[in-house]
Amino acid sequence: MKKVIAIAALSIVGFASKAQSVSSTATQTVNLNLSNAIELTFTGNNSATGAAVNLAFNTVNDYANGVESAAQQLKVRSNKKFGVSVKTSAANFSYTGSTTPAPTMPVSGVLGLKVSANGTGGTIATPFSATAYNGLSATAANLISNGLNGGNQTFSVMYEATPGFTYPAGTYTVDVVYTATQL
Amino acid sequence: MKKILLFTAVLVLLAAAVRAQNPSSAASQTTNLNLTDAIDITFVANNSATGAAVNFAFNTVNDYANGLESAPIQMRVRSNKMFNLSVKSSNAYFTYSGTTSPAPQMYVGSVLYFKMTQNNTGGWSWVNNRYDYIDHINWTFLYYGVNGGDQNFTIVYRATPGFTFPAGTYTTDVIYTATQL
Repeated sequence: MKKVIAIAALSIVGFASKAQSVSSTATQTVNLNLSNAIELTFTGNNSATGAAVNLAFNTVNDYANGVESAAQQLKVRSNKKFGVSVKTSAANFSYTGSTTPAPTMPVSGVLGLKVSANGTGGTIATPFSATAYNGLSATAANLISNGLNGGNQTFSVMYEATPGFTYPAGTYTVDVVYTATQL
Repeated sequence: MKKILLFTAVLVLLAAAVRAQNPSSAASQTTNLNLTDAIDITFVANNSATGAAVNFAFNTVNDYANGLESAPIQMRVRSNKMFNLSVKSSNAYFTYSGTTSPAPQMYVGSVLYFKMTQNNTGGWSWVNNRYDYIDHINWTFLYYGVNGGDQNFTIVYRATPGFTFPAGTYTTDVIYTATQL
């Protein structure tokens, strides 16, 4: 009987030795340091400065009906929802031509814009629309609301100019500035 | 009270700071309106540069004695600059279709007249409610028409061939020219 007890004690000692096997662990923290980022470009040249849009008025029908541009596509890449606003760089077009003094053509009432396509996941902000042209001015106006974050959030715009019969020949220039801002 | 004001100021500044930190990106595009001088003159009735033919029917001696007047004919100028209007006939003499040979020579300048009965061009007209001749030499009858998209005017013709000419059809074209200043 004593022998049996001794064997059992040895077994216990054996298990105890096994539980003491040496081990080591290592851990490492991985931080993804995400800063909010957003970018707005023209897809035509993948640049923040789009190609110039030239609206040619050659006939009286152009003056009577206005002239419309081709669609200009822009792309937003953003890690957060965003809005897009639009304004012109100045209240009046700058003039290049032979008339002196230079005529003053206001942007307001002449240059309009519509959103011909909207793949941003957001909505077209009032008063802009997909069907009718709405005037631009030097005051920023919301164009797209609640655009969804993503890497290819595109929208397209078209311009229409209706200077009427008031202005002499020449080139009238203004920049249209789009700003995408994260919400 | 000071603490409340201070706390409010801090909150406002904080809100402004948070707002200012919203990342944004801008893109711009130059828009050029390339305007070329343009002008056209058309007849309102058919919206064309070629008006409907005007026919004077001399059927009675009173027609010959008094001459005949046409119905009013409205024309329209569209121009991005001020303009003048001039008129001439296509030839010095009417062309003749009829049985008389040799063909009679009817001088346009002594037979065909016109006047302007309405003038919405903003310009000054020599023939404002006053008949003047038309002949093959182009002459300016309206000065300083104002640029616009619907600068319209109305003319009336008068033909007074007298009793000199035999029956037949005497034809000429009348040509109006609108010229930018």
